[in-house]
Amino acid sequence: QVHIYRLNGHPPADPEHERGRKEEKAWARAEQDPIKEFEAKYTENGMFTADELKAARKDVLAEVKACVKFADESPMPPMELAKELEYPDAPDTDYNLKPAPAFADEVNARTIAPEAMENVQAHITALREKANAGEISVGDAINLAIHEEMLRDPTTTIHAEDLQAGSSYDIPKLTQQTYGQIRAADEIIDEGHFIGKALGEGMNGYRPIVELMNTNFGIYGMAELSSAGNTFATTGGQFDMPMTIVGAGGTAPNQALGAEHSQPFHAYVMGIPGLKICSASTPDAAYGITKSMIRDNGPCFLFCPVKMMKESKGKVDLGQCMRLDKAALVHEADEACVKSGNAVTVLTYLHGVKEAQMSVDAIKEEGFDVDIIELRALKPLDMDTIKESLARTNKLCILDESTKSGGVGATISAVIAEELFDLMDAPVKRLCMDDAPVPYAETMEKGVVKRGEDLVQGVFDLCTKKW
Amino acid sequence: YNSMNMARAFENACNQAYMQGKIRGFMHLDNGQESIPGLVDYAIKNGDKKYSYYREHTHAISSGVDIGAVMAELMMKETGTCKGAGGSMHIFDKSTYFQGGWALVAEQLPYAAGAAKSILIDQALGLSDDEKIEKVNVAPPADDDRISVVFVGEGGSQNGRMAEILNAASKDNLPLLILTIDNGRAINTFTPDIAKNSDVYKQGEHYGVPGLLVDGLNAADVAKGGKAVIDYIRSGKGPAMLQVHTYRFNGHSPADPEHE
Repeated sequence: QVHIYRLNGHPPADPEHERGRKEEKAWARAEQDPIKEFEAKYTENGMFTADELKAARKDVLAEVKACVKFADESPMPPMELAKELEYPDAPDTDYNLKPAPAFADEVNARTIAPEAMENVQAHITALREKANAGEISVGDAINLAIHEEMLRDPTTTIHAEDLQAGSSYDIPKLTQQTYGQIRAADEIIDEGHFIGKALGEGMNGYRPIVELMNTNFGIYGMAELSSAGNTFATTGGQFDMPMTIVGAGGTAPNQALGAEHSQPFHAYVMGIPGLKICSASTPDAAYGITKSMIRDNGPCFLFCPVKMMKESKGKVDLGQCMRLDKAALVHEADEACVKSGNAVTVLTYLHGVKEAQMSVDAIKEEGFDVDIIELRALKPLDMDTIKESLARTNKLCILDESTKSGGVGATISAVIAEELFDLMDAPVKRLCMDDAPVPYAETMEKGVVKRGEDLVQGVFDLCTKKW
Repeated sequence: YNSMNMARAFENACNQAYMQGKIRGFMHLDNGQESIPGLVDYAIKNGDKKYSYYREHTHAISSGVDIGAVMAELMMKETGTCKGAGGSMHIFDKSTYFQGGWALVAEQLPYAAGAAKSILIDQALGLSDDEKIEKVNVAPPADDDRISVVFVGEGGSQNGRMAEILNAASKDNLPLLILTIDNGRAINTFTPDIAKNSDVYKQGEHYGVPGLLVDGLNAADVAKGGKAVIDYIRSGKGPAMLQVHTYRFNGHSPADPEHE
């Protein structure tokens, strides 16, 4: 603690903000100047002469004068620089081509006990068998990706609450036991705190993974997440921020988790610059996207559906990183419906994917059909895939797990209108959450959270020109 | 004894209702920690402001919230405290000044400090609540000794907000009781694994806020020690901390029985 006096105002912008400070400032300048103090003390005791100090000061002033001249004569940056500084890795990066650090094996050999290495390899093998059998869950698939990447690159760290206990979905399972507390840390229950610490690691050559038990809780870390997003651009590209945040979130219909466990955090973070945002509702996407995000040099956020972490099972393309800018066509409308103008492009993500898939039969019964596109890439959006489908259907419906104001559906609606207007035969149908906290009681919740039956109605309305 | 039994019986009834699917989502039971609602029943008054976390059923009940209304809320009924909109973690009752029911760990700390300040504002402005809990131009009684009490776990007590409100409460001489429920578990992590110092009641030393540690096993000690701390605050001497060492009999919530 250094006790001292500030000789100017807070910034030069507010010299008058000096509640009683004017006199204090004058006094401080006269009596509390450490430079004057130094000059007085060390000329008095003969260590320096007044002339010596004067010459030294003169040199310093000359340096300062030169630096001001340099700055005055320097050009301003080009307008394009802001866009160039958005991401250190372009959205279409193929992360399979990223080289692993050469020192990986050596560092692993000296920091991972042989027994721990044996255990984790057995764990990885078991998970891979599950994956090949089509039985791996979303949580386990992310855990597999994390282990593969933490072995591949020892600069990868992980933070979570209940980390050693596996947190809620086994995402960090066996990490502390393998890589030690120095790389796999239990954290106090304050997301801002450990997202903040992760940021500090990221500034210093490490690649932190942060697992949020429920992405809702990320609310505590809005400031830190925002700063993580700002880092690359605001530092003029000097500092990468290779932070990966993964968590279970979203709002399933009738989930009854209460208002503070149902907030659409993916909606809240859409506006954070520099952040790549993805969603995954199946193990293969969760696995492939997690691997890429860990290798990406910017901050990335993966949202998975909270109610499907254990129940959604499938196969995984082992060893492969997925693109972070690609949506997935998970159901294609049949040609007859397309030709007769009875097909709709449905954009959805998280729990909406399953809701949409389960609604296909009811939609077809009415004589309509849908292209279901899973928005695995939320930011940036995959406009190519959307365009391809919209060119067939000319009608678009968004089943959106964020609120009417702000967020995913709002953003997409705007972009579609701006860039794909010529393909539209109808306004965008946005089935989004009301601007309300998600009510606990299911009778109330039905009005707020949109689900499969709303989609069936929405498709019907679009195809029968009801808008 | 009655209030401890009420707490235990209510939580057991919740457990049963949850298994029958009548209560859904997240639910956090207080079994083992009953000496705390015992203290609330004994020493906390209706006009005191109460703030709690998500394991708050027994705090609500011992504060006087109607048990039928609480159970109805858990069962998502319109007759619930919040008309079914809130659920287990969001019990609120205006008339008993039970001001939540909050899910984000430690978020309730600054809220309770603001509520404590509102008591001082009442006194400074000469305003008070009428029976409809609307502000009227009637000064609080001369012997107004209302306080604000906030419940937080020892895990939540590691949150930066604790330092902030210890500072704010002592600076403004807020009538605030910080009651730390110390069961040694932060969700499913042993708190000493992540907390350097488990003596939460001493955190106030830097700010001049006194604290007392009591053993939750001994309900009478909790009541006597707790009342002494509460009376200290009521007498206008400023904020204080009470740490109750206790044990949680069930898991964090029924949703994760294995995570032990």
